[in-house]
Amino acid sequence: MKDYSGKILEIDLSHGLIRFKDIEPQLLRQYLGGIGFNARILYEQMPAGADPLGEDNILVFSAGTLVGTPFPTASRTEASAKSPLSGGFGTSNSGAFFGLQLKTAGFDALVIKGKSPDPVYIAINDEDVQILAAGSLWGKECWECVDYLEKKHFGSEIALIGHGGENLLRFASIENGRYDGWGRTGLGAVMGSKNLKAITVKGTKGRKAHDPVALLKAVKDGQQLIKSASSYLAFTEYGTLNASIPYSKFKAISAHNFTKGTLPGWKDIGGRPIVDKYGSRHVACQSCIIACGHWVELTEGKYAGVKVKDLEITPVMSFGATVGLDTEAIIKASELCQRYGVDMVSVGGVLGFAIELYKQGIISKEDIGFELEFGDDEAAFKLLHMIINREGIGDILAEGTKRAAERFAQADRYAIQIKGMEIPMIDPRGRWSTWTLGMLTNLRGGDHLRCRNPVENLRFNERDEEYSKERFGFKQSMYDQLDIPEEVKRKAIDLEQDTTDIPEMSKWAEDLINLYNSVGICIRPPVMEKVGPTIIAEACRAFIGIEFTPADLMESAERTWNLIKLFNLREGEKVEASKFPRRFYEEELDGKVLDEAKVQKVLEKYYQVRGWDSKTGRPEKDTLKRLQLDQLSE
Amino acid sequence: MKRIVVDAEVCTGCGICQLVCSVHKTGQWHPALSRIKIKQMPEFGIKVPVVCMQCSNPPCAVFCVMNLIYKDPDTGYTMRREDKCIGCRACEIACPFSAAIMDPIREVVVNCDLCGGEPVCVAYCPEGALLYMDEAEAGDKRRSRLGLKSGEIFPRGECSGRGS
Amino acid sequence: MRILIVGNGAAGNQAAVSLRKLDSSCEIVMLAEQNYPNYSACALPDVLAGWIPLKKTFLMAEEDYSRLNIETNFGLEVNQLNLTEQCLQAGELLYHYDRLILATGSQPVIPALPGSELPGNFVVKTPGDIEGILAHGPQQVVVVGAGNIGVETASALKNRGCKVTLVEMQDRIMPLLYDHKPATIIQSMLEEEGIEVVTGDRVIGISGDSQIELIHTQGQDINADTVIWAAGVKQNTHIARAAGLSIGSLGGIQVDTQMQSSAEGVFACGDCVQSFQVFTRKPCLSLLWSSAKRQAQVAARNCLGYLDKYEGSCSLVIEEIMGIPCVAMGLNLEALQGYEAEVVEHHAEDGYFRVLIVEDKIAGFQGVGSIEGAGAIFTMIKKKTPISESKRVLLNRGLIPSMAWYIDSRRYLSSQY
Repeated sequence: MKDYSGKILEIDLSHGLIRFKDIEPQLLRQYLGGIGFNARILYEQMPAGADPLGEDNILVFSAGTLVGTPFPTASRTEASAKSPLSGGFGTSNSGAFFGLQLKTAGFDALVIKGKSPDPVYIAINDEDVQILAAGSLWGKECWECVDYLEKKHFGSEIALIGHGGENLLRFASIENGRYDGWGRTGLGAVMGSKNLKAITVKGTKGRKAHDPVALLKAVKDGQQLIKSASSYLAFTEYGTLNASIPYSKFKAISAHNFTKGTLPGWKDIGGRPIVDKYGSRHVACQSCIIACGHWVELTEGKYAGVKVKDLEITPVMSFGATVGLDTEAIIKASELCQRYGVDMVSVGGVLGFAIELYKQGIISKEDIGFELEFGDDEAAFKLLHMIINREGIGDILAEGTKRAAERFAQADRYAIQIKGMEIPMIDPRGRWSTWTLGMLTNLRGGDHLRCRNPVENLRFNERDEEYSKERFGFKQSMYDQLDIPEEVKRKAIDLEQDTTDIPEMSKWAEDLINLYNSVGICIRPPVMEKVGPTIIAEACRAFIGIEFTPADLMESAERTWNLIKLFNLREGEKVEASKFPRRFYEEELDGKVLDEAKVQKVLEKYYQVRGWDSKTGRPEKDTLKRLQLDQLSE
Repeated sequence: MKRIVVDAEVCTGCGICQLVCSVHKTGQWHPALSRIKIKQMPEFGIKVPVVCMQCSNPPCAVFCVMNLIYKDPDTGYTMRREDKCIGCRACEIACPFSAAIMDPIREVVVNCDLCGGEPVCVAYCPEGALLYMDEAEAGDKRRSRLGLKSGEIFPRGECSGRGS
Repeated sequence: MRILIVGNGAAGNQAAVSLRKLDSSCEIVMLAEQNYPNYSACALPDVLAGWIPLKKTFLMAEEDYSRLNIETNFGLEVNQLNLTEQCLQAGELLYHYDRLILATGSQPVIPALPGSELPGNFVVKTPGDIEGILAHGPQQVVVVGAGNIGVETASALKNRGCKVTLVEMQDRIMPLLYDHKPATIIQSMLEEEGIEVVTGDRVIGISGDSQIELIHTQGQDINADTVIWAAGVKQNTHIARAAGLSIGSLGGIQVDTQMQSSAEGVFACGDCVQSFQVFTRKPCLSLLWSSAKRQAQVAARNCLGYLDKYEGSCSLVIEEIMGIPCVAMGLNLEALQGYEAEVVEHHAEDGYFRVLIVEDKIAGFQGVGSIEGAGAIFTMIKKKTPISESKRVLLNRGLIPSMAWYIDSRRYLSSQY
């Protein structure tokens, strides 16, 4: 710890100030890095009630603790700010190589405050940090900017915004190089509101490891653990698309704005076969041994010439299911999103919403200028361009479904969102699980990435009467191997009944994912199944020299989760906001509908498990005290 | 002679080789100090690790003004007497692969020494993109894999993944 | 077989080592005027600067020669070469040979000017020169000639705390390596370092009684106690000339691509020969360490009957000024007179570079700043790779993995791809 070289780089764009701050040992010990740093920095430094698109909002990028080591999948950087979409804690996680460069430049976190009077970009080259005029870069799409900046700042990794961020779309993303991004919660608009076009980072320094030999061993162990996961082979070959067909079979995909549950021929539109048809090379993020991304080049057809790192479930569900496009159009759509810097999930949600409004007669051809239909790619892309450039009705849609729905009569039923965030891919009516409850408990709104059962058996889909169990679906050996403390395991999994307790597992899963987001590793299923706090503790000890117990790490993750909750409450989050859209309670899908009272009961049980008030969803005093958050929250 | 052979088709660009190399050689996680470097063509999604090719008449040795680069008579590896290096970097430019790396801390230029016969990068490569073998043997392996990939022998969907 | 090598510079020593590597039994005898074992002349400015000790410049010790079974006769003046008798005469001694390798090198020139005989006039060529300079204790130095040796020496003496003036006859520094613009950038870097640079001027005399006091150039008088001459070298060809070997138009020993002189069995390599430039194929004197070593390898192989051809000289010179690398490779615009050269310039955050392209091939490269990946360009110059070929590879997904080294060239040739 003594020789810990990480610093926090703080840039005040209003005054052009650049500061290097040491990382206090306490911060590292309590919050680890990544999302932990972000939560603490935002909670402490952002004035309450700040305008998300105003000068007071703070944008933080923190690389996880283990980023910079070859620990498997340690590549991830968390970006956070107050979200213009949800009004709460906006946060998003991205892999690729940005975090490694930030770390090798000597920084653990990059804090951006204030607002530049003119468009600028930040160039970081080790300690040499410059705020440079963005000039003609402003107004250019992302890939052109990357081309330019890669030449000008050779060897740098680049985080940047496109038209989405510049035009303050509430679901604009920050792109991470060409093909990755911090997509959700509208962070691109925050960056755009600060007049910040891009951040280039190049690091040429290294990080000393506290115990290199032990770390190399932890890396090897981590690799072997992940390779032994039941889902490993499937993920190395097909990546996240593995979930596509099972969910379609359950009639639980977001087809046509959550009205259908599945689509005819879905297997060939968005299932694993498209990897065989379109995918070539496997593409990895830094230190990843799974390499779930695929290189795709369309050589013929309408969209010949499109080249992306793709075939991930997010665009497939978002454009294939929600909007109903075919595979090549999906690939084109994800290219457009990357070029213009918008969140694929929200764009899909907004397009699906608009198409349904049109079909319901709430908006007309005159409002749009052309006809809309599910599956019509040309119309969808035309509308997408209108949204990105805020032209005509696009200006309203650019505010996200929740705000747009307020502009039309009877429209809110079609806005499939929670807390302003458009819901991705899976329909909880079709499959009720830890994953779907996680959409309600998610601190950033309608989202699927912060709560996932570490072991989910996609062969089963059974919903119990009380909505509180899902099928465990594995044998004793799997149970024994799970790196979960015995008392948690007993509560969360009932081997005799072969069930998982959803509220209990939700807490564990959220904390585990929060831990991953703090130390900077990935939440792909092979990792979640095998990599638990024990090996992470060993890797952290070997790298930064702090002795953590697995329980310390889980507590740190829980602390961060509670701090984010406190942030949201401070920013005015209401307990009623944790509610699915009305459609899920009122409209049947494949004969199934959610019982609101039962969902509410499970949610209350979850609050209890978390040590929160079951009615208000506020963390109890004791909980805050246990997590040493009591002083911070007063 | 065995050397590190790169099977670029299966490389995913994860960069683990760079990090383990640097820590093994310097005790630091320091991609810039790695003797194996990943070159990339982002617009093609291509990443290729490049490492000292162990040339038979290495241009780096010709351009070294201190005559410190030599072929080890027993192993055939291209070795350096690093203590003699004055850091002029001529070898770095003489190498087409830029596989000679300036170590800015010690101010000497280094190249891959195959870790004395047990290269760590190969041991940690998750994809089998780095192989430590005879060049001829590597050629056979590559050809047989290309055969598989053409889809004639096994349809791709039935292959059991790349890893393990 | 008995092989005689005359000269113990880069070429002579490389020839000896290469011969021994190829043939463990042949008899190798080295004769040289200089009484030093193999040393690196390129590292001498580093000694002058105080960065490395003088002993580090020695590359071989006497035991290395005996270990390799190489007979050395250093400090011996060779008077005559008799081609018909196949023998060399050194004083009273006669040395017979079956094959002869001439690596007699070159000598820096101190022009005969008033005052150039005074103590304090030096060249930078041997360890003795360095010892002489250091013993002289220079305070105010004029370095005459701003080639790479001149620039390195000036920079080294500045580092030692001397007041340094660098005088160059031509209109820019390193005129044989750089074009105007990069030369100006490097000049301003030298000036920032504290070196006074005078171009377009020449030294016409030196005044002082028993020591140097004032240097007179055409334009001014400069107070100085030391003059370092780095304004040109002369090939040591008198033995070859006297023996009737043909001498090229530029004053070096004429050799073919196998480094054989006009007499069979007599090879020559290093500074003393006249070889050819790789791009233009025109005769040239390559006074570089790397060319000497490569020529010596070729000479040694052919000497023993293995066929090897010299590819031609291609210069590669790197200076580090204030920690910033400056690289020149291949030819500059002046050397490309008569060709239509396209200049591709790039000013990046981390440096300036230019690529000279003639008929789809790279003829030269000059860069100041980060040199990452410049190896690809150098190889393209050496191999005369057409840019259209590298472009073809880089546009073809299937070809890139097996020819990955082309990828680095994109940094410098992006406007061509």
